[in-house]
Amino acid sequence: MKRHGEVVGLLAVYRNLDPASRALVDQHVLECPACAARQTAYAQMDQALAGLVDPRPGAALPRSLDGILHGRSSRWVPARPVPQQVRVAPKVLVAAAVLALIVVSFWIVLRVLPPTGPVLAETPSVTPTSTSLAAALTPPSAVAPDAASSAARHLASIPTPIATRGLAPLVVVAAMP
Amino acid sequence: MIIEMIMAEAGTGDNLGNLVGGLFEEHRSAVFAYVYRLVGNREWAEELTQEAFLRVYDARARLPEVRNRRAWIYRIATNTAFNALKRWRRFLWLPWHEADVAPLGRSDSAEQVEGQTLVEQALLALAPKYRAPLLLYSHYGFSVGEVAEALGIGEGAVKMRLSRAREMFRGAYQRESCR
Repeated sequence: MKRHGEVVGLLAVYRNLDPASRALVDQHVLECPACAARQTAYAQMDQALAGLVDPRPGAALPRSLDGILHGRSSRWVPARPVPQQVRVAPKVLVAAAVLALIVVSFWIVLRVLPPTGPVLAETPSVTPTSTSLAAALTPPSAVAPDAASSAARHLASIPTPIATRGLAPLVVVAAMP
Repeated sequence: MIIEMIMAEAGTGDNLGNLVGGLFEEHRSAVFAYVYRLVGNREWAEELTQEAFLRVYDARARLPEVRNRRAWIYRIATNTAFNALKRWRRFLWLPWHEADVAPLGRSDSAEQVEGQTLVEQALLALAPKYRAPLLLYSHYGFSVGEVAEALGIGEGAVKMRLSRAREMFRGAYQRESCR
């Protein structure tokens, strides 16, 4: 029975069998009418398939490779630079929008509320004021030493709300498109 | 300019291009018939045959390494046809046009025509996966090894597919004969 199953598989490729396998099949076919019938059917099938008349290609298929290459070149379109599209996930876009909204609203709140932060008395303001700018632009020889020191003292005495310090970068980020 | 470039490439300066040209002329009709029997439509088969040979041309640098050029060409043709079938799934509803059946010679009798039509119908009833190995083995005379190479599968798989294809073909032929 095992041999029958094996022979059924071998019958499908009988033409390509090695002599030993072919002898096995031939021996089995003599004893098994089902395999004998199958062998006959397969032989007829091969004959019918081998005898099929091939359809001939029409004029649309060029007779030479040059014709195909010509066809390809006539369909050829000059390559245009493909605009590079940056693909951003929707979640990232939403997160960026929310962040921008928070930053802008925070900035608006700070602008509306009066400055109530502690006064910085010790450190002079980092932001150049009109006075300090004028002092910086004035040649050292033109400024008297006592005048410079009084300007520095004046700068130190200007109250700077802590809440307004360091907001410039945030404003710049919020104003970005 | 581009045409000149391609022609120059395919011309005397490119021996592999010439080789592909020779292979095209040798296998053009047979590959067309094979592709046609896989996809079942003449115009489509002509397009796909061109596409397959363009792929052969584009891959011509590999030709010196190819042991069996015929099997290699049929592998490219098979892949081209199968990809097209996968893309469009047209095989599911493509009618088998009477006009597409191959024109027979003058000496063919009505019985022969009928016999050929029955065989074609039975072939068409097979899924392309089974039709391809049966065609290559029985119609084109490929060996099992060549069929394996042409389909990109192992010899064991070819034997299994051929065995199934033969049984399917028997059943389909009997059904067609009873109609």
